[in-house]
Amino acid sequence: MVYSSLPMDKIKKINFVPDLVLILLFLIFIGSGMVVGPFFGDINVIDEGQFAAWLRHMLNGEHLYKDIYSAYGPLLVYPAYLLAKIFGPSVFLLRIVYTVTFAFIAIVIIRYILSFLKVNRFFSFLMILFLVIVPGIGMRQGIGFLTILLVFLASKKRTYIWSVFSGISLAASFLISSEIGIFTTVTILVYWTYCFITVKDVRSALKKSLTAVFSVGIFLMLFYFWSSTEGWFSAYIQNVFTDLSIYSSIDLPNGKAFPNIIKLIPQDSSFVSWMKFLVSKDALLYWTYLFYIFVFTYIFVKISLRKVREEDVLMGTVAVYGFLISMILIGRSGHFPFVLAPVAVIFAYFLNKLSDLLKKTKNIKEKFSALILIAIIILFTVRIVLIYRPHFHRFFLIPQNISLLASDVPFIGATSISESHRTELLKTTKYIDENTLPTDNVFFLGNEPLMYLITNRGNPTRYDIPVVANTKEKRLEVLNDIKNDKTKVVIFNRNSWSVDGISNLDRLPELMKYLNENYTKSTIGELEVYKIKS
Amino acid sequence: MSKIKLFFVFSGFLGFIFSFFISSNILSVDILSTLPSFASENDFNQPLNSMSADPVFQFEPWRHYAKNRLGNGEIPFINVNNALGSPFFANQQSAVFSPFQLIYNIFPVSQALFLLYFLKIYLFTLFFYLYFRTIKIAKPVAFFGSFSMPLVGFYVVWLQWPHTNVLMFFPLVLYLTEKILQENRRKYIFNLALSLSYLGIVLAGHPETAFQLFIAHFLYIVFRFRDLRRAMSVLLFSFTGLLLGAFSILPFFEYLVHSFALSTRSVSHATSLPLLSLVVNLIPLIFGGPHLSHYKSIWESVNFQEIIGGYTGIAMLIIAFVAIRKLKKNSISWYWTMLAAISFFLAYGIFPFSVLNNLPVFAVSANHRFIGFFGISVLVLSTIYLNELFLKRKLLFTFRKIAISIAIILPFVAFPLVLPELLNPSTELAWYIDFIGLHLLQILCSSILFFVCLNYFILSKKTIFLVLSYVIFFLSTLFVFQNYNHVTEQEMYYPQTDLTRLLMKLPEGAYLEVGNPQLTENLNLMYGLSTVENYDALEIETFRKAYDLSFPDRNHWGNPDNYTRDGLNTFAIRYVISDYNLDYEKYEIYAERSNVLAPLLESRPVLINLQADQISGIRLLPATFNRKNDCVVSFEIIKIDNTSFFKKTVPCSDFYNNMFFNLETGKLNFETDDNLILKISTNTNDPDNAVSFFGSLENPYLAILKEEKEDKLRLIGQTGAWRLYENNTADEFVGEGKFKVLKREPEEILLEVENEKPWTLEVKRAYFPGWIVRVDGVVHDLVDTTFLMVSLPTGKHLVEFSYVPFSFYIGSVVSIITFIGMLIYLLRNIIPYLSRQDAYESFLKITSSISWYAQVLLGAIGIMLGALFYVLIISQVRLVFTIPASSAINWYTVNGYPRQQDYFYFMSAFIFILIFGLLFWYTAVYLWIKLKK
Repeated sequence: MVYSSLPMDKIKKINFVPDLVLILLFLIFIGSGMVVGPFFGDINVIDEGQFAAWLRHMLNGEHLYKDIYSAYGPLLVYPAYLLAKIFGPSVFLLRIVYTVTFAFIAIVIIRYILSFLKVNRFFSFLMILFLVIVPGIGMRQGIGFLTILLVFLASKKRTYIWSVFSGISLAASFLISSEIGIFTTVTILVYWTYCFITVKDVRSALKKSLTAVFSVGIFLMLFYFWSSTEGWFSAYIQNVFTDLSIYSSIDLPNGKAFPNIIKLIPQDSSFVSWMKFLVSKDALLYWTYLFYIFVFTYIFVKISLRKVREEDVLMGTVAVYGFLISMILIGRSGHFPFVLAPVAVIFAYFLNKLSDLLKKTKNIKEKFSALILIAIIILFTVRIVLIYRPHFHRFFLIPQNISLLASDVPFIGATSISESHRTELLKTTKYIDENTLPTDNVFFLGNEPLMYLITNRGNPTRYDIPVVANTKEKRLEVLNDIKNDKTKVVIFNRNSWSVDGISNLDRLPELMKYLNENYTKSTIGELEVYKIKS
Repeated sequence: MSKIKLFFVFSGFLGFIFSFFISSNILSVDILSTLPSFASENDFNQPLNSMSADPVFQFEPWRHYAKNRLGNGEIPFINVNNALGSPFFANQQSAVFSPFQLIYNIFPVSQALFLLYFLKIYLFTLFFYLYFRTIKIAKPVAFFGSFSMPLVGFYVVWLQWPHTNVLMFFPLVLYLTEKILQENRRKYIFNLALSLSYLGIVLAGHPETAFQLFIAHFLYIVFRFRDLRRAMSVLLFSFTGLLLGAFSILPFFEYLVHSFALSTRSVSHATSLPLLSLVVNLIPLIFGGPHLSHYKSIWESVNFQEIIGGYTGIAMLIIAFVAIRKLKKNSISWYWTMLAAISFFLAYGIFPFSVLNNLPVFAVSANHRFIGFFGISVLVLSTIYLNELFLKRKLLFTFRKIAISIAIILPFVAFPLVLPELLNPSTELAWYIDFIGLHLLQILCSSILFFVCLNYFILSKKTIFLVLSYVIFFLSTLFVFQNYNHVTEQEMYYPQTDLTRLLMKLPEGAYLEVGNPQLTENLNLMYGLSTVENYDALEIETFRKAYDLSFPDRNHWGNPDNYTRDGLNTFAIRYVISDYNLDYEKYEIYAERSNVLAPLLESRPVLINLQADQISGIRLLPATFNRKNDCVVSFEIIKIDNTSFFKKTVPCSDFYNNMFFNLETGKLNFETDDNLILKISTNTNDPDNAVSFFGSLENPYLAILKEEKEDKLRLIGQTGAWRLYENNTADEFVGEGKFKVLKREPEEILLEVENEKPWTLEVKRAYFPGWIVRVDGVVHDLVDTTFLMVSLPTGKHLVEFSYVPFSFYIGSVVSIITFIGMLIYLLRNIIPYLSRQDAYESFLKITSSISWYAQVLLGAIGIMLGALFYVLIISQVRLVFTIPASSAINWYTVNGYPRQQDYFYFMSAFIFILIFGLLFWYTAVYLWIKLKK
């Protein structure tokens, strides 16, 4: 059924290049999600800061995983590193790579998927815009979509080149994010299983699948040669396995309980409080899963009724992928925007179908039902956009930001930041410059990895974000590294973000005990400075 | 449903119901009485079957251990209680994932044991019935044949062993193969069932029998299939079953490759049965039996259990022989004839089949157990032949022939019956001849009756005669094997002894048995104790070789007969159980112990020459002839001039067969040139109430204890049968630095360590591939292959030793992929089949008549109702989740929130609501139409 030749010619050829150009301009000049672009916007000292720190360390000869802890795959970090070698490290460069280029590539892939789902231009653009406004879209989700797309194409086309590409993409998904790699693999396995059940020519399907698997092997082999030549292969593998076990267990560094819907139910019977509850941020998490249940029911029913079509299969595959990546919300419900891309694709698909129905039918009941469903989808979408409305006010700051000169904070590049942010960064930089040598290591005890790039100092430990060193062995590793390095200065910024409300001073008790015994503590504004006793 | 099907269903149900009323155990725990520590204080009689050791000493403790670990939600990869951590899951005989283990986990022990053996018999019978019917055997004959099958000697004597767990699948595999050959429409079901059967074979827990079964099955395919492609397909699906069990097979192969057993077997030859032992399959009790009052093991290398496997009764054997000659030759009869021949020649190692014993796998396999397949083949051939006679109404033997046979054979049988009268009737020989006479008479009478009844059945086709034939066959088998698999009372089930009570009270530590076996390896699992030894028929090669080097002095039980402090410390042995006083050095005066001296009688005391300057104790090896004797034995040390130095009398009940007996003499000093004599005398002249001693032909085994050791172990308890010592210098963790144990689990050890200079930490756990060590989360190399040892840098570190069973993980991936493949195969076949059904067509018609929005509404209502029901259910069922152990400091650990509950609720809610929604939709559509109508 699925492997039958795809009526590719039937797919309406739409030139969506103008749409994408618009999106690209939006990403460059307005920015994705937080309304943060390459040219303006305060720096996220953790999320952007970690990449900044890694660039700094790598440019100083250190290796990812071996000398630097990273929860991300090498293919997510190395493009920025290679560009940094040419253009020099800066926040501007990071934003060009991650906020613009990677987000744009992901958008292009999603756009292609929407075209294969036969979604019209209007709904495609609407949902892509939604994804750009809501923060979180990037290459991590994008690589999963790309693999799905390539596997889908491979099953349609006679040539084996698509199978090769799909294998490469699958392997790359592991090297961009091991978590996404696993989710993508499971999704592809589900897709292949479906194909094997329904396809007439099993042999051809098997050949294509094996070609893809072979390509995965070849690509990973190349990766092995590269990483082992640089001497960080085993560290990477170890890192991946440790992270997979940590992030699926109670040991994960950042995470909280999934909101309990029963406890959130309003105690009164007021309509307003119930409505507020139903559209609350926490309830939206549950709505997402209800949507997935609905989609799976839809697919099952279609299969039962023998009415399944190719686009249904593709949409179902995206739904499986979406459901799997949405599982990261268990423990990390703050990552909600990160898992919205598949939801947006599914919404676009149904909006398209329902609007078509609305146009065609004259049956009032049908019209009414279609309208209700469209309303639910739009309500959900708008509500999510509204949740992120605090950032919209930044639109109005764009002209002012553009008019500002680039900041004098080192390694910021062409990005302008607010005065308060600049002052805070410069204060730390000044202190470090005055009290340490360029060859000295400094440990930033708060979660502000950006400071390693800004101050251009090395980290005596592997952990640029101390919060990730939360298990005892990692805490002891940090302690031993600082002990052995005899680090002169350890700095804790009281303004730095306490992940999940637990300060790093409480998270690293062994280190704090050592610092209190062997360092003298002084306070400079918001900075707590620990200097080694001579 | 036919009467026979109804019978099978009813008897299965009856067996299950009956199990609820079982209060005793089908387990020969009375064999514990052979151990002095148990016999000395429990009201045990002599064991009813001296060969039922393994089920008590191995299989039951393994089931018990697996039950506990699985009950805790753990896969028991490592058995930390044996040999400082031996592989458990990888030892296939532990059969952790066998369906039988599941039964054991669910039901109480006595019920589980009954169900276990009942199911083995029931399913073996049922599968053979199905097979016979598939090869067109008439119903009554198939019924008779299938019920005869569990009576084959092999199945009876190995019932409590995992061999029969595997063998049970043999008729099922044949049945499915036949179905694949005959069916065209729903062949895929039988293909998949064949794969699942092979999974069952893998999980059943006996690789050797599985190998033998595969050979027998392969031959069946060769004989039965003419179409190579179809034959290959059957083989492929059989192989798929093996792939499905890869998660169990790969760890087993890993263990096998690293096993002491393989390294030992590779230098020895595969065993064969002595040809003369064939006589036991004809006259089974000719040398008595281990379950009878008398038993003589004639052949050293094999015992009753091994040689009786081919027993089917002479009558059946005769029918099979006639069948081979007269049976209509087709591929089925050829197969069974060839299987009978091949298994017979292989089992007895007869040329040219003995050449096979040199082939890979065959060379390290117990080929003599092919004898079971011989027995099965005999019964199948008999059944097929009976069927032919039944259909043609042709007599088996004419009544005339039977009468002539009786006339010829009877004098031979009668002779032994009258012979004792000619001899002295009170002698053992007369009794034996008398017994053999009766036994032969029983065989003759039962065979004649059997033939007569069968003749009547063939003539009249009346089922009653067939039932009578079966009853005769059953009773004659019962006569041979009565009490072989016997029942013991609940209170006898692994009772506490002074030794176990004392060990359980003491701080944790491994023990070593010196001298007599008292609490043999695996028995410790029943009491939660740890021993340094292991017996699982494999054993880790490096560990075992190191152990043998440390304790080279071994006795006839294979136990160390002495120890060194270094040896104890090397293996972190904290406790030593000994039969003799370890404060003294042991000197063997007469070390030979392979013969039994003539019984000690009042008229025939034993005098042993001694030359010693000092004696503190005497050690002998008594033979009680497996009896409880009520005599007394006196020991006296005298000089040549009859000066007595020491005299002591002990009751014979203090002696245990083949177990060392220790006589404490107190410290006796002699002149170096004193010629001493140890005189052993008794008060009885009755040979049936006398004891004796193992030794050479002239002297009994004799060791003396003398010279007090300087470096003594601390004695912490003793009875007449054992002494328990403590070695206070044994450490589980060895190294210069400071360490704190944070976690000590079978598969994981977590330590916080600190030192000011680089050092080496050794953990006394047996090394096996899969153990890794992480220092502060970074994998380090282990520097030893006997124990877990790692080099550590200075400073404070977290060291984690963990067992990562890569072979299990790789196997699991293979199993999962195979499972998915099978699922795809099933769905590919079942969907078109279901689509063709009329019910489905009408369902399609119905649903297409309902508008889409109505269906969406139904689905939405279903999902919402599902969510509501789920919330209602979880608000009523309050599950308690505990926070797992963790060193992490994060929101969960700070707030004490068990994260796994979110996973549980998430997955259960999702699946529940999805299924509920779908079911609601299907039901609502159905009702919609009904209401419309």
